[in-house]
Amino acid sequence: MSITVAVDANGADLGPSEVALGAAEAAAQGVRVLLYGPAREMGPAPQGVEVVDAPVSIAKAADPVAAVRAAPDASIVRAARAVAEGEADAFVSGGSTGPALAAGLFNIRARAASTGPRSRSRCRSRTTR
Amino acid sequence: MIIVDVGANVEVRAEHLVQFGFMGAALAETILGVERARVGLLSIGEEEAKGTPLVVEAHAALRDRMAEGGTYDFVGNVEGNEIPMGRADVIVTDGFTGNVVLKLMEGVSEAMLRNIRRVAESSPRAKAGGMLLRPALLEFRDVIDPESAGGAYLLGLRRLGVVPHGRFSRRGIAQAILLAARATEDDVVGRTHAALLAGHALRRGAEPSAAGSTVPAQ
Repeated sequence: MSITVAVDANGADLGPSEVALGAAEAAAQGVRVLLYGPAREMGPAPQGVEVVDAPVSIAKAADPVAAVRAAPDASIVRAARAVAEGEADAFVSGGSTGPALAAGLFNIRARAASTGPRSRSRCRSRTTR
Repeated sequence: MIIVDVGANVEVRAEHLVQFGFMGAALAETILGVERARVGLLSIGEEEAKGTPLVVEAHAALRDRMAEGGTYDFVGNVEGNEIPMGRADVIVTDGFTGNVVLKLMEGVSEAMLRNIRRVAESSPRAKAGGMLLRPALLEFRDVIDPESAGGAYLLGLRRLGVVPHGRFSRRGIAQAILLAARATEDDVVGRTHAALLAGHALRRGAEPSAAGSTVPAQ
């Protein structure tokens, strides 16, 4: 059974096109990749990569939690949702931890996130990576 | 060796550090093939009273929980200089400190290589030696290159996430995707969660704190 990984193309310093090239390399090794990002900037989809047009980026958002809530169409949110809904097995962020964590907490662990303020305050942490 | 947390939680409580210990130990056994993972807590001295009140509290909690669980070994406090020396398979710390540690290690490795190159070009004699060492040094450069590692695992969620460095090129991104695929095959999520339950590291019905953990190049 082939593994499917949802990848956010936004957030990498070298841009979505570089992430697309990385996705192509991974796909060549047998991983199925769902690539979320600005289709216009990523070029034609390589073999094994399915490009999903998601131009909204919250990779540089100052408050990742608020950004995830405000932008359900953001590429990282869509990638996390694909995992939550079983379309993909794991997700890879384009390079920023905060939005990836927030998107993961709200989508992949929606049940816990809605139960109380504790889990909310936990993911308010800011990250530098 | 694995460091948890490297950036997901800037501030933590002692119970989170205990969770990081169990998740990191399960990860070490799964992806590094370590048996009976040794877990250390990052502090500024070996004695259990050394460190911030949070670290002292976490030390006692980790010691008790790991002794009860009986599956992993808590080796006590580990100091910064011991991180690359392999005294523990898992280094537990908060995300702020862990992020500083990770980037410091990357910077030191890079600076060291640069200095070796400078020394190897300093005289005709050194140049001759440098020529002989070149293949070995190039291999070493690949070993310490963060892009080879692929990035940090995002643990504690019901599915796995991997966060690469923002500055990675296509090579590092590809590694991150392959890392995510391998971790899925190895059931990292299931194993880390089982370790938390077995160690009674979760409050009843509660979810663990998410944490970023990484295997730094060394």
